[in-house]
Amino acid sequence: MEINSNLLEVKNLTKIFYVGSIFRRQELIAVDNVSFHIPLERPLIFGIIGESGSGKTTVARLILGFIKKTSGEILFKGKNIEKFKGKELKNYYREVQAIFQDPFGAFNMLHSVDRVLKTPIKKFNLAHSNNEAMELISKSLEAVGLNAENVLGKYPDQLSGGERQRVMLARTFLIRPKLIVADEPTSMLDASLKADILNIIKDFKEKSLISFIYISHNISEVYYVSDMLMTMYLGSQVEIGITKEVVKEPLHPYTRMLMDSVPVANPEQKWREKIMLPAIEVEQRIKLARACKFYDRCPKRMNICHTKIPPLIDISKDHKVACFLYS
Amino acid sequence: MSVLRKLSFNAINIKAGRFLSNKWLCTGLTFFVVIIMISVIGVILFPSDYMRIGRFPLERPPSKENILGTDSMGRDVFFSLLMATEKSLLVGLIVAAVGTFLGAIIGFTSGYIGGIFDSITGVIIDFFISVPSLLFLILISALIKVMDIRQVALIIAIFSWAGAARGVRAQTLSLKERDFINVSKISGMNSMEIIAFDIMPYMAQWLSAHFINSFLGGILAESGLAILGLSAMNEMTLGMMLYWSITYNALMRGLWWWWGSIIAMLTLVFTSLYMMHIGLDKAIRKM
Amino acid sequence: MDELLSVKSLFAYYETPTGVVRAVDGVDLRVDKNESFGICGESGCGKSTLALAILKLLKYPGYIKSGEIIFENTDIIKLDEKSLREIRWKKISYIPQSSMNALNPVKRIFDQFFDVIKDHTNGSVRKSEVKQQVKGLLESVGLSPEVANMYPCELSGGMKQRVIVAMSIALTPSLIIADEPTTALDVIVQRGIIQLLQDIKNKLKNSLILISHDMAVQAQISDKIAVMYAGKIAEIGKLNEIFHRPLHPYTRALISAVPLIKSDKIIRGIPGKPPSLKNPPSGCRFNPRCPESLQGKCDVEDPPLIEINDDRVVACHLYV
Repeated sequence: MEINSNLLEVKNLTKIFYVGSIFRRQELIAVDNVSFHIPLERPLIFGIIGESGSGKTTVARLILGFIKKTSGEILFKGKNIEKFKGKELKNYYREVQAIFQDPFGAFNMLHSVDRVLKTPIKKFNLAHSNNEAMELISKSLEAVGLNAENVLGKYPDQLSGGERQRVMLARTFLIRPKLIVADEPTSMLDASLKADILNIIKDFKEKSLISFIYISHNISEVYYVSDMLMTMYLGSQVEIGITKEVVKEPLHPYTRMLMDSVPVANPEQKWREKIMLPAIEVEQRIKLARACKFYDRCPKRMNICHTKIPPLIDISKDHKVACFLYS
Repeated sequence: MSVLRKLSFNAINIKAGRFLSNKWLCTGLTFFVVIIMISVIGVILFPSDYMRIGRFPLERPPSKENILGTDSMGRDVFFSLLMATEKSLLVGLIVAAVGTFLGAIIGFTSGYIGGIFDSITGVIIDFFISVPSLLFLILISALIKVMDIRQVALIIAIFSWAGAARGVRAQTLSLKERDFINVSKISGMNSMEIIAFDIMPYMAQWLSAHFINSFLGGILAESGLAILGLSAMNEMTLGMMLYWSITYNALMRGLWWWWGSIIAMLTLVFTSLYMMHIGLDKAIRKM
Repeated sequence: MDELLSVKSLFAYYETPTGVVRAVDGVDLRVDKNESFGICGESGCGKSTLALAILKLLKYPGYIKSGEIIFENTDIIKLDEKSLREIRWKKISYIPQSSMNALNPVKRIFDQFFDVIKDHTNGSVRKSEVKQQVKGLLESVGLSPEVANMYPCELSGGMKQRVIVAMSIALTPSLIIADEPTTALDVIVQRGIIQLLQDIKNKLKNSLILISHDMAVQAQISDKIAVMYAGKIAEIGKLNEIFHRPLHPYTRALISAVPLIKSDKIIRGIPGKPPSLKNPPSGCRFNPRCPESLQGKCDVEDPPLIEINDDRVVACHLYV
């Protein structure tokens, strides 16, 4: 029996949505053959960057079991999560949690915020008495810089966006999972609040040994917080490697274009060249020709890029690129 | 079972605070409760033979013995009225309960499950809504020989569940996609719990308003059938009383204590129910 | 004089049932010709209200309480609707927040251009004349002329935004006010739009007021930056001064909160919450969260706007 040393393993994951009416069904390839893993032995923050339509949110929803995959495998500690139902699924959530983008939508307005903290305690048997539960809640709120007195008993609309997001983080702290999937957790917050959330996430990893999959379109944030980085484009994974390496020396032309376009908060580091935006754009995730999806915009394109799908090539132990330039 | 218990506590909690300050609701509710109490107590207190045909002299105006006089079949009008009110309220209750609860369950389940199951259910719901219910009721009642008032109520309920189902399904479909549902999922809650604690509270007030509406609608429908002679002929409801008074031409013949008291009671019942409906409507708006 | 727009002691409030929201509470600033002037600050600081006020586009319950907005030697506040229409779009154009959603979904792009041009041109305008103009405008923002025949729903977010930019330069204004023109846009498209705005500024020699909470975007094209906090100006200065020698504690805190890619900088959030604009704290608005707050001074007295030199002002007791 193969000993699987990975906490989470995503293998050739593909998700196709069917859009349009019954008469004109079209395939939308949201996630196209994506593979990566989160190791078991040490905590890791795995960043996924990509623009809208890249499929990164769909990857999150697949890992969390909200939607079913079309093909490929998602293995948690070696077991296929597709088969999880009832008790097994509950155990999965005991170990895999999530933070969502919209700090308002994540709460049911009709209940107090206490509920998101009390429910997991009850469902996962995290405390044996009311006192123990209250202590656990207080400690968790403290860990995210909140005071239980100022938070408990309030309704979501009585807290600010930053506070709500912190309560969500406190909730995950309470559960102490092995992995947290964070889908754009700061995109609806102001700069001064973003920093706190990012620091809390780093803290969770270092002190509580929790791994993260951090999904964002803000590359500066992902750089700050993640250890490994994966770039996605129109559903495909394009480059994967250690964050500092991928950002400093991007190999894939798309990653390079992304990194060059990130605005840096330093007047000495302005964008250099001018970018040409396409004169007209077509929805490309529908029935793509089986070739490199970046062909149209790639400054380094070659003939072969137009005819074959670029394979994921190993550059080094941790660095992979899907580009014919490196074959 | 514990889910249901928590469910009802939840619903009561949400309602109690807001509703008691609502004037419309309280007045309507007061009247309604008074009506229920009078009819139920009256039915218990009076000896049942006050309803026997020929028990009293025919068509006597109000007197010391018969507070509201007697009808063309020698029955005490006051007692008949109380019995009829009780029976009509029972019809209303059955229609509202079956219609609202059945409709809600179908709506929640269909909306939450989604997919093809929901699409098919949606079509069925739309069918029952667009169908002219009174016509069908008349048709069904004419074909089936109904004996029991409860059967009449159930037949009427067939056409009242769709309204609740549609509203609930629409709301469920829209709420299903929200992040807080996902948060509940990953907190270990199962589908039933999510429907009960996350989705149902949004519908609580709407469903209450629908309940009252169905109640009223049920009484109206039964009265309509009764006047046409298509309800349970052996039972006495307000509609049946109307039927008998029309049969004996009470209006033309000046038996005002008979037709007058029926109309008065009907008005009272409808007004109190309608006031409650307005009250709930206002409360929903404030939300 | 190089001055194009001068805002003096502008107060713009909103009347709500629960009190008056002092969204713009005494703002002074100056924009020169052919200058890129950035206004930054977090949500709720009043920057969008400021933009609307400058164009006198505030609708009830918002209103201008007092102040002067001098544009080309005239006080805009004193102008009537007719004169304002001469200025709007022709002299000052506006790219509103979420402007991608400002496009009429049931009209073709060409028709929307035509509407704008017709509304702000004296005399009659014919569609055939405008066709050439629209083609040119679309080309100047890098869009294919085919776009003129399309509907907004057929366009991507980035394309819609470029259409809006093209509309804003249709009548060659001398000032363009862009309110968060790149939120909700991807990083590469954002770069395209911002570079486009810079291109336009170089060609048409107009001035640009860029409102954006994103300090990194400001660093790319702004010549001068105004930092707003809770309805007031905290600091104004040249780009390099603001980033490398920030004076106001809020500016310093804001810069420390932004992650710097490819560097090992540790970022820090600002403790506390932005104040309510209905009941602002006494004294300096930032003092409850300020690490350098002087007790007895900052919590009592509102700091005056101190002029360090012609291009540099700061509202802070530390510099009196």
